[in-house]
Amino acid sequence: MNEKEIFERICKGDEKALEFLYQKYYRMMTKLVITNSGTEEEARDVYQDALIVFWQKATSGNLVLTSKMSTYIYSICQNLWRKELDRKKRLSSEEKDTSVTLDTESSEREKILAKCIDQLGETCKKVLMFYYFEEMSMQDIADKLGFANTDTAKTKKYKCKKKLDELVKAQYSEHDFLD
Amino acid sequence: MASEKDFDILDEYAGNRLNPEDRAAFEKQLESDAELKNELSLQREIIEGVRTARKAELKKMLNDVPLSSIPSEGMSTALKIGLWVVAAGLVTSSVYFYFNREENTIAQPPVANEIKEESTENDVVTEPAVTAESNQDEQAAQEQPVQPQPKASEKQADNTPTPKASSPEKVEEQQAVEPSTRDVFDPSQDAENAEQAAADENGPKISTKSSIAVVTEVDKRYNFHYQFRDNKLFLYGSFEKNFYEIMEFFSNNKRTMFLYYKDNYYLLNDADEKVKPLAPINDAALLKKLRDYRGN
Repeated sequence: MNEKEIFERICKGDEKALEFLYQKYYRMMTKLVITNSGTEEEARDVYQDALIVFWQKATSGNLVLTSKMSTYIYSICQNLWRKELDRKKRLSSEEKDTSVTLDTESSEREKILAKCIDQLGETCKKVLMFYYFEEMSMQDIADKLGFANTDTAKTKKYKCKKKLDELVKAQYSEHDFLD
Repeated sequence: MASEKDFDILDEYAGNRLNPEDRAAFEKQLESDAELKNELSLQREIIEGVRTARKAELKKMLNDVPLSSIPSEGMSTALKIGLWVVAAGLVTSSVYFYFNREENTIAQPPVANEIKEESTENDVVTEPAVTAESNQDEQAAQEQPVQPQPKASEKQADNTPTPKASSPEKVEEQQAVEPSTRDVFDPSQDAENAEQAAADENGPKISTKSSIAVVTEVDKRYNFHYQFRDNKLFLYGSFEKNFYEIMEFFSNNKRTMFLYYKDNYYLLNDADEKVKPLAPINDAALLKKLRDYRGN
């Protein structure tokens, strides 16, 4: 696969192309973090996050590459790692007893949300993820999930979203999270 | 009261799918509709939940991607040891130098680099680079197939290209012991001793023989560290791709070891089994001696 081909496949939401890219630049990208006071695990984490940012931008059609993919991803890695180092620095300079205050309500809501999403069927999950995360067009969603046309994709997305809304609202009401 | 149509627009708004004009119009409507505002806040939360779930799914997918095809990544420790031994074995012309006069002995096992001997004045014993006998096993050492090369004192390192140092690795946690403050064997002194040894009628003797197995490991806790454990030297960090050398010096039955890596020298303190950071040697005089001895 050449650069252009990989990028085109990624724009279409081809996960195999993403895996290929992940392997291809693994050493180059993780080295950036490892040689800048990071551990192997942190390096992998940063690289994965950077690649997901790249993926999201590419699949949503909001990315016009003016440089090589590796240059672009490298710059995302640099930014993410810089932010992480700043965060660590702030944490270490803060008083220990004031640095960690857990927002229990918001973490409870996150758990409920994750549970509701899990209750959806696999196709529903994919439709919503492709629509809201990848921000794919209805045509791409239909192609990817084997729907007959964009209308089917639209209907499916509408129904799945409604179902998720209902699940979440019911759970939130139960926990008194709704105003 | 918000209509069904409003909720559709709201969904598109929260999903970043409205064009700028519709977006502006909807934002105006939001200002005067508290119910719509509340619903927007909930929709944003739900959509964020979907995004978070998708991100976690993608991360899991990437985590499951096998990295075995990436050179030097995910390599098992056993394989690294194996490669080390094979590499060392292949370099058959690699040698130890033993300049033995009374108590002083020098051994420099070149690793992954080829070293040629040129005949001059002193007696030098050469033998295969990496073996695993204990230091005390004098007799076994003498039984090793050795090829005495008479009158050789000047060595010239014909190094395979060593990767250029981009920047010295940062080790901030702990300062390594400054070599100059230690009882470190002085290579130049020993070279002089060796010359004298050439005049010694007894000739060179192999009194000590040492080589240590080196294991490189990627450990998330240590980015550029080392440790002596189980008679092995563990190097923690991304050493795989680059050549490195372990230099051993023996003086008064004491062993002093150095690591050469990416144009820097590091003292290896084998006094205990603690994991220590690698800090490049800065002592100019010692560096010069090490460079002179290594031949670069």
